[in-house]
Amino acid sequence: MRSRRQRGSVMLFVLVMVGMMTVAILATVELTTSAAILQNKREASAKTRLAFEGAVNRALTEIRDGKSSVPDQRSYQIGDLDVKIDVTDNGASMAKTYKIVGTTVFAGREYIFERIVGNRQNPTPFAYAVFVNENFDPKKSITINGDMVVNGSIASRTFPFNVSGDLESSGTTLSFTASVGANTMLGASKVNMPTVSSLPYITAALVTWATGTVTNIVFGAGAEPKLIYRLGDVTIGGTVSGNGTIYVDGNVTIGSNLSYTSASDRLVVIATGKITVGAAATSFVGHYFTPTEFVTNATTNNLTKGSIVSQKLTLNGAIQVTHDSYFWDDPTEGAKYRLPGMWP
Amino acid sequence: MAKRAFTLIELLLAVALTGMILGVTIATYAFTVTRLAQTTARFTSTDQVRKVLDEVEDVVRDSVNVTVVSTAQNPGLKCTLAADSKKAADAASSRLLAADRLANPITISKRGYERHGSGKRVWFYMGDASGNFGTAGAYLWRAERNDDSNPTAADRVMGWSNYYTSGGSRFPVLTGFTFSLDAVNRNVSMTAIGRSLWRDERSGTGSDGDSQTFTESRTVSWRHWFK
Repeated sequence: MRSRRQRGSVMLFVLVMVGMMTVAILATVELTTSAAILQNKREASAKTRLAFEGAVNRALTEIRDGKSSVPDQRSYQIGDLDVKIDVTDNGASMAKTYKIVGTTVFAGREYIFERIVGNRQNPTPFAYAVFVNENFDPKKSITINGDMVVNGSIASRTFPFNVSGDLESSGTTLSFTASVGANTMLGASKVNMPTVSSLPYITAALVTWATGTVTNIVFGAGAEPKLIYRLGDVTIGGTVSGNGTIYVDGNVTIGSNLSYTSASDRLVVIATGKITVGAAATSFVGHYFTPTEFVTNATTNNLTKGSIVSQKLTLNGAIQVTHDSYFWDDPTEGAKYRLPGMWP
Repeated sequence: MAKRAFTLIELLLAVALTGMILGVTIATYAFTVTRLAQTTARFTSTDQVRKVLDEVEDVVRDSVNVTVVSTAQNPGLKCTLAADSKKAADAASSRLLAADRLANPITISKRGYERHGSGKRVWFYMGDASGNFGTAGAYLWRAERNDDSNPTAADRVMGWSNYYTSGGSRFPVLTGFTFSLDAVNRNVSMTAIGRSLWRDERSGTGSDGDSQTFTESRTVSWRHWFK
């Protein structure tokens, strides 16, 4: 029979040993568990974030392709995650943007992401200051206050080439130094050049021009843009009063300087033939569309407010274009002015 | 009843049993402690390597451009954050801002891609304890500037690189951090190596093979904000 003291010593010894082992084992388990939890959290964060990015891209693609509209709520299965996407128009805070909020649950925990993204629509050529639908040879100096897109390559020249916004080209190389304020986008997908048909314009026009030379264009009162039709070549110059579109079944020459009489005036010229800036027209305004060629002949050709949409751009004189972003800011106005691709 | 002492057999049995129990216990304890040290070392290596990669990745993902700049053959990863990015350090506290979201765009291109503009330049480079860019060493440094010049001592983010803004490195087990660029596809491939020693080796009784080395590589894209 052990004495009480003997039993106590054994008990104490056993307790100390068990305690030490328990502490060591618990510490190991705790450390391993902590590492596992940390790793799981990182994995969950990365996985849910990537799933959200995938869902955002799918949502933007479907909106661009017209398969959904904004606002929109939908779910995407990305891998084994169900990502709920809530797309709302963020235009009030920033023009042409969406706010996308994504929610997904992984391992019982909810993850929420948010992004402000651009509305990735296919742009109209009038969104740019200058649009050229084939290879472009900048054989004179060029200054663009806005964006420029070339559906082709840009030849290498030594003349100054300045673009304050984006310079986009479907060509893959730019073998000269251009000064570009925003981004140079090479290998860009082509922006569609719309076709134009005379018949709808003939039908819609309430005014026709009989003469081949018009100095001082008057569209008349009223906010709605007017439509003028001209069969044959025409030379324009002087001032523009009011707002409207001139459709010319022929060539257009800007024979002298052309300016607006007020800030709200707006001119659109659509020609089936060539548009030429004459040697005497150093300053002009308006949005110009031609499926053939836009030619500059003055020493300096300053389009102070407008845009050029042309199959080909030939520079016999330096050109400066300041973009009028009116149709980019409000595309519904494009239909009112009967812009190709937006009307009929 | 007469008192009776232990017999010799009982004493021998007691000593033998105690010895066996003590032996097993001590062996188990030693094994557990060793494993604990190894696990700690392994955890430290893994944790620090992943922490480094996570934090660099966080910056790269919110950058509009990334380049590699070398001084005295010691390269630095220069990340130009988006203008609205929240991934720069708080100047007052020298600690990172708690901002999970990516930068919001400044404007939108005609194709609907986000334009961000250029914000802070965040640098990551290995250097010596001084943190001067261009020195060689095993310290990972972060520096921030508002222009494209190389970082100076004043640009170091001490709270990120060190504990308590001074003293020891925040990533003491990191032995290597390398990176390379794919400018065409706009991504950075980076590798971090951590090597942590466990206790026996620290006391000089372990061998080099006892260290716990962990290596992880990642490829991270910076912003594809136009295509």
